[in-house]
Amino acid sequence: MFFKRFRSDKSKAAAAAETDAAPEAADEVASAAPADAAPADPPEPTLPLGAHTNASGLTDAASLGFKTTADVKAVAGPVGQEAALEALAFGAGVKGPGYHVLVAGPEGSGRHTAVRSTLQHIASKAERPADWVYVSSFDPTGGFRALKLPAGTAKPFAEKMALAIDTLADALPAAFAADDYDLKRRTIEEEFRFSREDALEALRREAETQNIALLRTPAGIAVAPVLEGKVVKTDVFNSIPEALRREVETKIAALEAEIEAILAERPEAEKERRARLLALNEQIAGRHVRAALDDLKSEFADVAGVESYLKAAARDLVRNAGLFVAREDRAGRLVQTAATHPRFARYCVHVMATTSAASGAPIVQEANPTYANLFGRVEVSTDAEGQSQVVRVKPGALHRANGGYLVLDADALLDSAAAADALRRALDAGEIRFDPPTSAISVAGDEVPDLEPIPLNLKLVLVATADGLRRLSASHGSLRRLFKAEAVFEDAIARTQETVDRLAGLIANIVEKYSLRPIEAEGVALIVDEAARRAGAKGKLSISIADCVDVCRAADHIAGSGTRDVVTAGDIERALRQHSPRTEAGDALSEAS
Amino acid sequence: MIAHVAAAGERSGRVVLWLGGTSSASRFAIEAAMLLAQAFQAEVESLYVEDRQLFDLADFPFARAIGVSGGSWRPMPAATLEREMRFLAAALHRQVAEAGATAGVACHSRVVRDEPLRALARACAENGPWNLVIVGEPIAPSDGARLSELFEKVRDTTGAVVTGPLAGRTRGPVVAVVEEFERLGPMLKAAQRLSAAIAGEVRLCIVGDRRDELAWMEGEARLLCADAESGEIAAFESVLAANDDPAPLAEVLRRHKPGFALAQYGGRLIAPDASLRPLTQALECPLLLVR
Repeated sequence: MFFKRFRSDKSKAAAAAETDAAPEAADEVASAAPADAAPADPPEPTLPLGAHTNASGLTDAASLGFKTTADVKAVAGPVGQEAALEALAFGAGVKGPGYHVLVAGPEGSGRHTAVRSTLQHIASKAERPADWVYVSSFDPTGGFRALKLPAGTAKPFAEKMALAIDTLADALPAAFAADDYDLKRRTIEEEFRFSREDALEALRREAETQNIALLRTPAGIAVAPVLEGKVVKTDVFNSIPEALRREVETKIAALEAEIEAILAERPEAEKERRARLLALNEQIAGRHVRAALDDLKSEFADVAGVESYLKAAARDLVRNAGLFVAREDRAGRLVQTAATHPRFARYCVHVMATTSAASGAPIVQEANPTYANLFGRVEVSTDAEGQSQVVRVKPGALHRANGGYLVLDADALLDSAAAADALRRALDAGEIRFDPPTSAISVAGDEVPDLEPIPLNLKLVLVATADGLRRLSASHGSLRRLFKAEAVFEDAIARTQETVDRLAGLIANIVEKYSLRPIEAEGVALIVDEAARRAGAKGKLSISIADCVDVCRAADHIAGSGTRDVVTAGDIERALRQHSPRTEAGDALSEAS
Repeated sequence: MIAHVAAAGERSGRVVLWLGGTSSASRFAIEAAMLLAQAFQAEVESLYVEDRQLFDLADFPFARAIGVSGGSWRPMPAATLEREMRFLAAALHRQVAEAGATAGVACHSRVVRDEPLRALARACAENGPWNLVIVGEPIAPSDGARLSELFEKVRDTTGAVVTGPLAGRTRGPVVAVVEEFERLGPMLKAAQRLSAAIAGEVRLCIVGDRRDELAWMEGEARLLCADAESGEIAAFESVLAANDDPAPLAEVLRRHKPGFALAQYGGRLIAPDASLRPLTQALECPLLLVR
């Protein structure tokens, strides 16, 4: 390719020497040409022709109508891709689910820039979608409910819930340490404890009157005949009349039955004791829990699902008030707030989607669309008792883009087949269901928590190359069929007055955007020629914006090294030569062969 | 009395941990034994008494026992009883030895088969008067007579330590409940030595049945404390107890949440043969009852 470009430059120089059509421009080009160029070479007959070309088929810098890019109005976005842009705007603008957009075209053709600017324009006018959070379902499954909240309220909701937990972490230990609670608890404990003791004591006294004693043994309680406070020896007992012995044995049997009856009441009494203690705990904790959640309840009273969640949370908080009075927690709070302590993870509100006040519909571009990056991730922690619990649910790109636009690169998506399949299922079903690919063998406690699916309503914009498109059709036909709008960026566009002017505007835009030195018209002409050469057909231009940027920046660097204030054609030429070495090397090889 | 040991500035004594009877000893009783041993540089003798009367009962063909949690009656042959007692004694002694190793207290263990109080009295008599008995089993409201019998029959002890069914602490302030002025000095010194062992402050509760008597006692106590060599008194409290009702004193124990308490046996808090209910309802720490 070096060779080809040199030849074209030589022909350009030769053409300038032979014709007087644009002597100034020809001089400049000649001066910018390499020193070893042969000025006598004939023009190359296969060069593309079109707007702004001179007789030799090269771009006529003088006809561009400016001296440097400083005189040109900057133009953003791809050049000559109006049909693609129109299709993109149409697809992105169609409301309702299921109208996804496929953007196809060569790399560097400005697809991403076009997608970004088009979507930003449409999304800024769109309505902000609702926020979504995950909250504990407080049921035995340990799953999570999805709550839909008004736009922008998810974070305040989560913060207020955390504040309520912090408040309870202070209030509950104090409430349970208070004297009135202690007294009430003690009263219940003692009533239970001493009711049985009293019954046994009464029985003991009654037995004493009958010369029978209740003795404590390692195994429990035993009943023995006594005389003057001492257990009667067997020989003494056997010496008394049989009728008397039978009478004593009958009395002992009767006492044993009574003891058994007293002890049999224990499980029932224990149950009652537990119930009364629970009721007391609920009474004490309930007061504080209600107060802590009151603000949240009143602020979100109109939001469906919030009231039932707060009720369930309140029930759980009251039932597990003991979590707040554990001693080690006090030390823990020195370094972190109570709400972030893993012990209280079940009360954490996980914000999955939210938008800021100034934004419209969200636009999310995910460069690495793995399953976790698309569908989110669940972080599990194991507590001291070995119980695993979810401490964080992190949103994926689908959550963040819900209600807006998700931009993915086809090649990156197809590299993760599981993610592509899951994405297709999610788009088909219209919901984000957390069901990550798992191994058939797992470790106990590694179970995927049950996350309630969140309704999905987004527009997927898939940016693909021709090769990516072929891979998509071949391996994920069902996903391919979801795209009802296609914006195809052409490899080569017609070389017209307008496209050449727009290309110059694009270069001016690059200069402006990257704060580069202005480029002389002759330099711009070389870039146009390069675009024409790449198109490989007459009257066509193949414009790679990315390549343009690279060349302009390299040329600016070269100009800077030469302490020039403007980028000359020579700088552009050197930059073109150094650009894309892989392709150049390939060309050099083919030339050599 | 152990209080006398403290008053006399003596550096030794012996703690006898009385085990036996029911299947478990209070963990807090064992902790109390170690704390006292640390405070008075004493050794702990862990004494498990196999109640001879139970073996007399086991000789009867109708001898049976039932677990305190309920269930059914099971025959109680002597061989089974003996085996159960041996295992239980071994387990309790091991528990005491472990606590002793942790506390750095020398512990000895012994198993004797006898009438419990007689065995205890003999064990104390063998080693002179400076004994302190720790009752391993938590006291019940009906144990008043049993406690009275202990003080009556076991002469070679300066006092006894009891724990209640609600025991839950051995850390916190040391509360001394003083009902007679002549006991103030020894009890105060005992409390101060204990407070050093459990790293808690001393709180003094003076009890009287007349205001002028109380005021006088408090003044004297403050003077005494000002002269005391070791430590300060963190709090004084005067309790007017016009009758023998133990409730106000039990309330003091409840309110201060002590790690250890001292009181006089035979006073208002524990009158001989009286029901221990007010005490057991309030006692959450070991209580040293001085004679």
